[in-house]
Amino acid sequence: MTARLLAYARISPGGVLSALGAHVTRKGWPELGDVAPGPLGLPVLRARWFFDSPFSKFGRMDPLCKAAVACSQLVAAALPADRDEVAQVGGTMLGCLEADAQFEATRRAGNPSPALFVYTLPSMFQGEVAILHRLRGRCTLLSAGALSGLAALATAVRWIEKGRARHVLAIAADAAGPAAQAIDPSREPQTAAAAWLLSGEGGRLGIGNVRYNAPRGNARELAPGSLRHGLTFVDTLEPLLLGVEPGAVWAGHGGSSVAFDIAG
Amino acid sequence: MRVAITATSVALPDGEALSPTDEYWPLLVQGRSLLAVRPHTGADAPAATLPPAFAGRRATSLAHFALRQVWRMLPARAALVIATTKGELEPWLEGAGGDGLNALAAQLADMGLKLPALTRVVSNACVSGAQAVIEGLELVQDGDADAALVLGADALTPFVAQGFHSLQGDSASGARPFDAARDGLSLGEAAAALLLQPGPGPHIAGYGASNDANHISGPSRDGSGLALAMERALHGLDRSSVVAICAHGTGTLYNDAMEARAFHAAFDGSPPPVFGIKGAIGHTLGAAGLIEVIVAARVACTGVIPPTAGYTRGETEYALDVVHGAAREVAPGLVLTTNSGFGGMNTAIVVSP
Repeated sequence: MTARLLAYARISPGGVLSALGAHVTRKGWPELGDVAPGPLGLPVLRARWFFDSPFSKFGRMDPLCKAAVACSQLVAAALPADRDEVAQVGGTMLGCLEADAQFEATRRAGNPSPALFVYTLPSMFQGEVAILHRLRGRCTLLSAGALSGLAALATAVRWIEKGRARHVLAIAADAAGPAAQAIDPSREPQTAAAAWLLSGEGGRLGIGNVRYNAPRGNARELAPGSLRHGLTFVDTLEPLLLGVEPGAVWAGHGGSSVAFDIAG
Repeated sequence: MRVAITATSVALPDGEALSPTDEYWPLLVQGRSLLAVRPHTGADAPAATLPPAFAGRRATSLAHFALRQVWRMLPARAALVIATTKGELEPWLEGAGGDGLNALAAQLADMGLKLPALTRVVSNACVSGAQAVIEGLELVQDGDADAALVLGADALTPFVAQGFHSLQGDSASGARPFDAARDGLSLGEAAAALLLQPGPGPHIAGYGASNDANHISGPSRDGSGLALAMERALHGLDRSSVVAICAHGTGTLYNDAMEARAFHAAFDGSPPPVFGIKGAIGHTLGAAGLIEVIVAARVACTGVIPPTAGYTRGETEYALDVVHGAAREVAPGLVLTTNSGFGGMNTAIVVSP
């Protein structure tokens, strides 16, 4: 069985994109509000940009969770009714590094914050997404360096192909700001998230035949994109998915690679 | 495809030294507790418990120790799945760099280990270890690797210790899993490794995972999320063949009550004997689920159920047959091990002899 892509969304410094079937919506941040990028490379996300009703908890989430949760909302219309059968795979390179730094600052000040400590686990965005959409399927978070986003997508595809899940919401997310720059000053502040909703049927295109560390062969090679960290290859995959360009794709980094086929 | 557990290793700091990697079993069977040696209570992390040479890279050092014997058994086409909640945090805390999750793998490579091309980190709070076992199993089943080496490691740092203390989740007197007077968890630190390969031997007979979709840091009160994971793990298996449950058993009020409900739900009110190891070695976070799969395999093969350190008297509601005081012998058979964690994560794994 090939995994079918029901919906795709992306939040990045360039704005917001959602694709439900053939309907693609793009919005720049100025269209959502008169906003400027904050220290993590995105405007401070507002619940009202993504949710029709008040969502006060959104404001208390860390930036990684906000980006992932908002991205999940952009594909929510395509979620199936049986939420017990919707699994999640996450991908992140930096995880909760920024939340770690914020908590560590409170700890060093002698007043460790329990509200911040809760977000010092990389998989917390999956917990927030599960609560928001009542998703009770299996849930895994992977980190594989720059390939983290594609590893999440590939794993989600595998779960559908192998009958391990009926539907999978895969989310890649990274938040890089002052903490990431403190480790590597060359890192630009950038927060981004992408979401793919996959199922066994429906959708405009299929993704299948996942291969890890296989020769590139005739596959189209994905170059690093303008997004960084665990989403850099997600960025260059996006136009192929939106354009339903069939064929094999391959991405490699640091001696590891992942490949899969796109079919109409 | 039957994928067997062909090698295991558990590294536990015990006072000023690291225990031999098979020392965990007599420790558990004899009902001893490392917590008595090294109580992890209060706001401060304990004084250094590792040999001085390991200072500053605790998670990596523990991981390297756990890997030593298993590493030479790796076939050429292997996968490495690393379970951790915080990776190697110490250099970062000291301002010396390192990207948490990925720093652990990077530092293992710096110590001379040539990591497989298929290396990934699984980080799902306190179910990380169990999730990594599932991930490794699936990579082997899918033919992505001829074997999967699953490594779990987390160090007990001031960051973690003070974080749990801020949540009022730690016990003042030591974890007492499933005891009526339990008052919180005790943190531990450990690394463990497990090798999965096709062939004969103890193996994973079933597995399942779920999300509570209920609360970001607390377990669901009704246990339905964990029960769902257990239903998935036990699907197609004879539940009467389950001889024991190795519970997550953190010793917190809500986790253990939730688990008891879930066990009753999954076994129609008559769950098999239950035991937990966190009263003996503490909650080892990313390593916990992995160590519990290793212990479950030992119980499945030997029929010896270790006593639950810290337990003396249980609850009357959703009462459990908690093995305590001394080890109990049963016929070898299926052993279920469960884990739950922040973010509503649940896992259940059934190990067969």
